[in-house]
Amino acid sequence: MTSVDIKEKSNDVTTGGGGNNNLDNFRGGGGGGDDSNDKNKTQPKEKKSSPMLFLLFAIIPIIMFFGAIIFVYIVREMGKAWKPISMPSAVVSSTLVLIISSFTLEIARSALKNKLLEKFKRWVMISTVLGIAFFTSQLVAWKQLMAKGVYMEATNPHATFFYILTGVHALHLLGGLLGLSYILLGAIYYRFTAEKRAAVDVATGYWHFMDVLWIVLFVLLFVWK
Amino acid sequence: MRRIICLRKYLFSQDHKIIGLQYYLLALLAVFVSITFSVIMRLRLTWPSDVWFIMSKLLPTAFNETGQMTPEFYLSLMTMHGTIMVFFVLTLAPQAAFGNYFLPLQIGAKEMAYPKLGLISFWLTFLSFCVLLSAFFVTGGAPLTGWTAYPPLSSIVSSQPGQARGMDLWLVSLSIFSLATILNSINFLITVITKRTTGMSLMRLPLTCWGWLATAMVSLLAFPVLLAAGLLLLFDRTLGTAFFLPSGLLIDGKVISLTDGLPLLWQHLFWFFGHPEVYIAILPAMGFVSHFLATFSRKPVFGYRSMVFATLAIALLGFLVWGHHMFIAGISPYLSMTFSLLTLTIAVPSAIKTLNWFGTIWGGKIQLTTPMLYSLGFISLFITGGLGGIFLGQSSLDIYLHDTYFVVGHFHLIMGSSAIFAIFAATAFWFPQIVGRQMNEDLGKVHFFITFLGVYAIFLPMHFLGIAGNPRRYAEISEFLYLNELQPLHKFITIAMLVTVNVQLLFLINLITSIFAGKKVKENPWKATTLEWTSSSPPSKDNATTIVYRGAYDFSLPGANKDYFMQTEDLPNNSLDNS
Repeated sequence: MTSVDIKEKSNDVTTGGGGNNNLDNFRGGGGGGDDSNDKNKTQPKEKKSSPMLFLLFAIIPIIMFFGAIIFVYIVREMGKAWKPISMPSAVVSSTLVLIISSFTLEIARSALKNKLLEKFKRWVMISTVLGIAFFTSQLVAWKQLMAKGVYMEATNPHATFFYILTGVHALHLLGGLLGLSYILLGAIYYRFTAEKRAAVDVATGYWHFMDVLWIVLFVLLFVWK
Repeated sequence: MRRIICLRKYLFSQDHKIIGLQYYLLALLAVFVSITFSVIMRLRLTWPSDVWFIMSKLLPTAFNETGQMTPEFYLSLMTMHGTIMVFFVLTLAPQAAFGNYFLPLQIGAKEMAYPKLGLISFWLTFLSFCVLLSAFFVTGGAPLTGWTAYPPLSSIVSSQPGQARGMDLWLVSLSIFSLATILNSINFLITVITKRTTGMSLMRLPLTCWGWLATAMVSLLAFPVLLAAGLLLLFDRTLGTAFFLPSGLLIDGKVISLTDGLPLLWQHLFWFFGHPEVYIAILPAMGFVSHFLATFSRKPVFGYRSMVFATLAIALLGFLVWGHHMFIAGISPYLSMTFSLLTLTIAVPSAIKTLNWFGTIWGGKIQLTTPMLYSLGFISLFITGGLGGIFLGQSSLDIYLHDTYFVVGHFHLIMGSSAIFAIFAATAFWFPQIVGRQMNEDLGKVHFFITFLGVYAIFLPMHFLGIAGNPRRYAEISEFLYLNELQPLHKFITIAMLVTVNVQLLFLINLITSIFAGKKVKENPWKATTLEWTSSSPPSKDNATTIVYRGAYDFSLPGANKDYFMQTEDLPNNSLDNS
């Protein structure tokens, strides 16, 4: 322990001394007129990294990832072995649930903006429940298909794509659900204020993106021919 | 307690400099492994019937009853050589290693935007390297499809011994690698966008940073496609889907029907990633070279703006030319022609860059230090390799040359060797900043000249082999009458290769001894202008950040009282004396 202490001390001495010298040099050159202005000139501004930027740069590779699979889907659809499967009824309910969850989340966000923390908590809770309902509904859809004897195997590419696209989407949405749980915990303990809501914005944005992505996949799988 | 501190500080550090060094060491390890593979391959190719006692004892499965290495093992080595070189050397060293270390220093940032992300991406990359190497030790051994993994060979488990678990591990490894690279690219992009110090406008960035920025953009768009393709192929192999499996294939005596997959789809997806990957390797290298040429010619980079736009143009065009890898795959001739035209268009920004490099050194006070020599070597290799590209970019010529050694020679010159030369240059250039000592210049010069001649001796004859019709990926050519006459040339290449590989030990010795015994140098020994030289060397944990007042390459300004101005020097006070 002692050696660590000594190290820290010596570090302090060297960096402290160097820093002071530098500052003296800079200030001496500038002259003592306007102090605040001088400070702006010699000390670079510390910038904060933007969480929304992170969201944007996370979405771009996800779009490329799904784009690649969708490209394969469109090409394979022209093949001879393509037999469209009938839509499992649970898919409709999951779609509705997911769309509604986006709106409830938006209500929660605007509640936070207006500093209505109780309301925020309530609506985040509702959204999280809806999110979990979506997963359950997707599970039911898979069960429905398997009960009909439609599996992932090569014999029907459309079924393959259904399992893979919904599976990969669910995996990505799991990240969104983690985000929702995080802001739910924050809402329960009133950790978020109107100013401190970057995490809420990011989680909401990601959720909306997953929502739109699901609608695209739904249209691709069952509407677009 | 101290052990934990040590782990925190050197193994699981969030400091971008430690992460950069970790990446560099991983790349060094990878290049050593990969070069060993290529030595074994060349020996097998040149002296096919010789019995290798030691190796056959070490790896009994790789040898047949007569003591000869099996062609399958040759193909495994080839696959792993390509994979390791492309991913763990050419993607890691210029971008992840030097980028992580010097990007924040050069833009005046205290750290990367997301230090934890850097930590995660390094260890994911390390994991993927371990997974890749473990393919050698599973039943059947490493895959043998080459680094391109074309189906149906790669999608049928029973097709070859190496196509069982080895291929799965290969795919898993590349998926982890893609994820790590995507995370790293996000970190790079946000760092450049948000973390630049006051006064560091985009047009004041050093060209190295532009290289890293463009590469991060390309990686962010290209690697997800590889990830998707890899997963689909993995599903084909494990879950019984058939994305890339055509119908009518005879497997284990049974004809597969009803699958209707398209092997060509894999090629489209793979090369949509694969061609930008080439630029992921070369764009940072181009940045390094522009930077070093200006520093050692004591002149500003000629046409800075056009350099930036050429970098972005190459990054963009890189996404539009993937089809030129598929001219012989049976795509429509109209498509071929389009891809051919777009491919030749890349010659325009490349030529802009090359001419700007000449413009930079033209009439400069050239200092032939080792980083400068390596940079000049880069230009030479880039031009030679690029000329080969003009042949291959034309669909009519490519049909003849595609599966020959011409391609091997071409991409080893332009992508392999020239990027490696830029890595050598960057190592010698930034060594004083990292260690506080200089690498040995004499050793470096000897290493440069022998490696430079050696690389030409290895890869230039391969072009002739290709024109003579020598196919690539063959473990042995002695069985073909029309290729017998080429065997002496193969022997020459192998001997040149053995010499060149051994000379690399000089670089390694130089690198290691210089850490302890190199000439101590003052700060900024090369009299460079960029911000990394304002922090102490070796840099302390916290980077120095200062305000930037000028562009990155203020060398030899007319009428100035000194040769160069750091980016941190204020303009009106001391830049121009007489004007």
